[in-house]
Amino acid sequence: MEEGGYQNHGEISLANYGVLFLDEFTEFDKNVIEVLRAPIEDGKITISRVNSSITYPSKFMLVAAMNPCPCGYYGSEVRECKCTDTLIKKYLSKVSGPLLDRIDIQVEVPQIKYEKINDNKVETSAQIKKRVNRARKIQIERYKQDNIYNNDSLTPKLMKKYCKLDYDTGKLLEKAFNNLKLSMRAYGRIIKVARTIADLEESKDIQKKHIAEAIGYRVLDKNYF
Amino acid sequence: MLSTIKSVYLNGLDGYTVQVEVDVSAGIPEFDIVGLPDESIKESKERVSIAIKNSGYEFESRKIVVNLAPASIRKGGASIDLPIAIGILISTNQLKNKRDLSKIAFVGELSLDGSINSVNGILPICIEAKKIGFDEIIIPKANEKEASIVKGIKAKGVKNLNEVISYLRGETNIDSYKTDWENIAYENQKYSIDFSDVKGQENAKRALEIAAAGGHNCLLIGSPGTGKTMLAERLITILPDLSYNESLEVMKIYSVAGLLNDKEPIIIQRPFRSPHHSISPTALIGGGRIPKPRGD
Repeated sequence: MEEGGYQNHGEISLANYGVLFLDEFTEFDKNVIEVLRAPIEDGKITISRVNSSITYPSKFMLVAAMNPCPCGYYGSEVRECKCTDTLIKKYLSKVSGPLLDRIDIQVEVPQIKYEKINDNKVETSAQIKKRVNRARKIQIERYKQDNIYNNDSLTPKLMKKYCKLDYDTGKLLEKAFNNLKLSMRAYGRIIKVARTIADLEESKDIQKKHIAEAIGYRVLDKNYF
Repeated sequence: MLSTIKSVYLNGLDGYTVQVEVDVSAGIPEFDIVGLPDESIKESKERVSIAIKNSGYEFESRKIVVNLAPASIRKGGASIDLPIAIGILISTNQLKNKRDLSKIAFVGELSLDGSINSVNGILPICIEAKKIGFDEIIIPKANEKEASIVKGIKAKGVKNLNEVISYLRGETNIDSYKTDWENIAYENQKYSIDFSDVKGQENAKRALEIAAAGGHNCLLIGSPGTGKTMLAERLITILPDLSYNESLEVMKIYSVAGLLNDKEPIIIQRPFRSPHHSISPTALIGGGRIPKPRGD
């Protein structure tokens, strides 16, 4: 083995076609999470050293979990948050805008009510997986000529082909784009998520409600960040 | 006499043919390897000469020069031991070859007693060998299950140098191992965790379902103890099945990293990696001083 380099495959390559889960997202070094920007977008990572450069695939799905503030209770209905505004700002600024822009689905996980604890009408993984598998099959079938396997890998050109929006749906997206001051990347990513929601319902076209739900997963960064 | 043996070498995940040219001639006895070998290949001189001796053949003290072409690319690791040994045996007329060597690739690390040890990255090596156009590839026995995943190339597992010699002499045949990909049951995936462990949180569950279906990135924000980690960990139980092509891509990386299990080399589960937050940028994106596959 070469001197000094025994760890050659990064976690992002080992997570290829799978999940990279970063728990306590804000506890990571800032420079550690910022290196994810390029591989998230490109699906591959090129490592260059003095005498060689090598490209490894990194088509992973990033899942991150974090608290909203240092004490953990900002925005909570049950406990009061003890952090100052500056502290919260500083804490949240560890997740930069460019990185947040690349996260399609942002969702709050609130405290649950006591009644729910004994609720036995909960879906099992097998039931959910069935729907997921069906939606993924639709995607694989649709993209079999295009050398991609899921909606997340859609390129702008392919999006034009497979994600047509009708007039009303387009208007809704336009409104959201202006009101939420979305970036061009966020625009594209909303359509991709809407495409997946439509696939889960086995709907051929992207409808207004699909776009609306996809936009719903984008508003969190305006509430917190 | 000059002989040429072919091998496949990996640069990252891309493979290329390495021609192992061996020339044995009269002169001051020496054994030299040229063609940008690194330290680990220079050490193969000792392994090769002793393995030949311990397999019952003579390692003649003559002038032996081994060239690894293309000579412009740096090579490392021990997977070229086997082709060097075969080349020396042919060049010294101890092995009369009856097979078409232009269609066979050789990969394997030699042990001092002449047995052949496993190498990392056999799966991508076989895939690349098939792409290059080889009909057969001689590989270590311990790697044969992994190699059998690749369709369209005869991967023949060998235990020791003598098995290769008698095969090349035409005295024996080697059967290749067969994996019946279609019959590998996806149902075998059993988890001790389930989404029903998490009560409530319908919104977050719905979001994760969408993320899993389309492969989208996802961020969960919430107070301590609300179930963020539990939810994320259970994501693996709802991820869509890996297709053959995706599975091959995943296994290629695990093979090069030396993380495939010899007994059960097939990966049918999507990877789930959750590094601790103390991870360094290099460990996250990869690369050491020289970003080459481990041990190859």
